[in-house]
This record gives sequence, structure tokens and C-alpha cells, in this order.
Amino acid sequence: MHINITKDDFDLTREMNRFNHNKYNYGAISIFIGKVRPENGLKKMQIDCYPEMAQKEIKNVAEIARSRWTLDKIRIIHRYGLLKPNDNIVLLIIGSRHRADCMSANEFIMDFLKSLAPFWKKEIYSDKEIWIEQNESDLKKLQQWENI
Amino acid sequence: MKLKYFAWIAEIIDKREESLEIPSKIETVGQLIDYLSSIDEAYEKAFEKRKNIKFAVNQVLVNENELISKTDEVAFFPPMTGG
Repeated sequence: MHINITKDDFDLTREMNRFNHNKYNYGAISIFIGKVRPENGLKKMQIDCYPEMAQKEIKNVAEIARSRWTLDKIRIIHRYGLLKPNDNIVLLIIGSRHRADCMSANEFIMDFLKSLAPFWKKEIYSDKEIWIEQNESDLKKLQQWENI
Repeated sequence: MKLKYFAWIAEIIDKREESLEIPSKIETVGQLIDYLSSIDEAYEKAFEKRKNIKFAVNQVLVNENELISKTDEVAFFPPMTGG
């Protein structure tokens, strides 16, 4: 399991090479990349972060995912700092023997990151700055996992 | 006690972290918020909408009744919006 909380950008090809570096047993890989959506007039996005807590919390949820699905490998990168529209924010790569496991685990971990990992986004426009509020539908998605 | 603030809470208080001597009668996170709000208007403003604030003690999410001690790191932040 690899978790990296960083200001630096990531490159998918390089990360895939690292992911595939050692011997592996997976027959499926799911990849999710979250990016800064280019909202109309958006200049920058500031992502605040509590790195020590983020590292712990993401490791915890990855371990929960491992206990729920059969997963071989997990690689998570979450950026913080000042980003531009279209910049990468998050990368999640999961390898498993079968497709369903890595795809479900990918969605589960992303639902967690949205609402429970200690990151906060601020949209910066030329005339205003807005801290994004937690989305009710994101919370509901997270709650759905408790019933499965 | 080491205190950390994030997002708009850090902007209102105008600092991201500090070390403060907290009176020994302060035993919980909720009491700590009341105490901070009583010593400075910036804290009072930051903690005004209390239901919109989350807390962590030593990087673990807790509720207001969590017991705290001098050596703890207590963090205050809005609901998370990662991913």
C-alpha cells in the first residue's frame, strides 16, 4: 500500500510503472483521477490539508477496503496547495484478481476521501473566494456503504 | 497544548497553529472551544457556527465530549471536502 499526501503533481505513466514494478497477482486494475473542474471564471483552487491526519485516515480506509474486497495493491496520491483548473488532485490505483473488487473498492475509497479525509477546497475567482461546502449527496454515498 | 486550525477557521483566527497554556479545569474539546471563545473575539467568531466545526485530537476525529490533556494536539476544521 502506498499513500502520498503531496503538493507535487503526478504522472500517470510513471505511477503505473511504479505500481507494476514488483511481482503481482492482479488481473484487473482500476484507476481514478480527480481533477480541478474548470468552472466558469475559476482562476485557482486552494486545497488545505492536515497531512498527518490525512495519512492516517486514508491508510485506515484503505485497510477497511482490503478487509471488504480481495485487493492486491493500492496506490493513492492526494495533492494539496494552490492548483489551477484541469490540474490533477487525486490518483487512486487499485489492483485485484477480479474487476468487481477493484472497481467497488475504488468507489468506496473515493466516497471516503470526499467526505472524511481532512482536505478543504477553496475556489478562487477574480472577484471572490469560496470555501466549498460539504455536499449532502457525497455524505449519502458514504452512508450507503454502511448498509452493504 | 498544541492547537491547529484549517480552512476558513484558520483564516478567521489568522493562524494555522499555536501552543497555548490551557487552564486545568478545561477537560473536554467543548470546554476548550468555550474557553477560547471567551479570551478573544477571533475565536468567538470562528467557533460561532459550532455545528459546522469538526475536531480531531491527535489526528483522530472526535466529538465535543472528548477528554483532552496538555500534551494533546487538538485540531479544528470545517466538514471535509477532499477527493
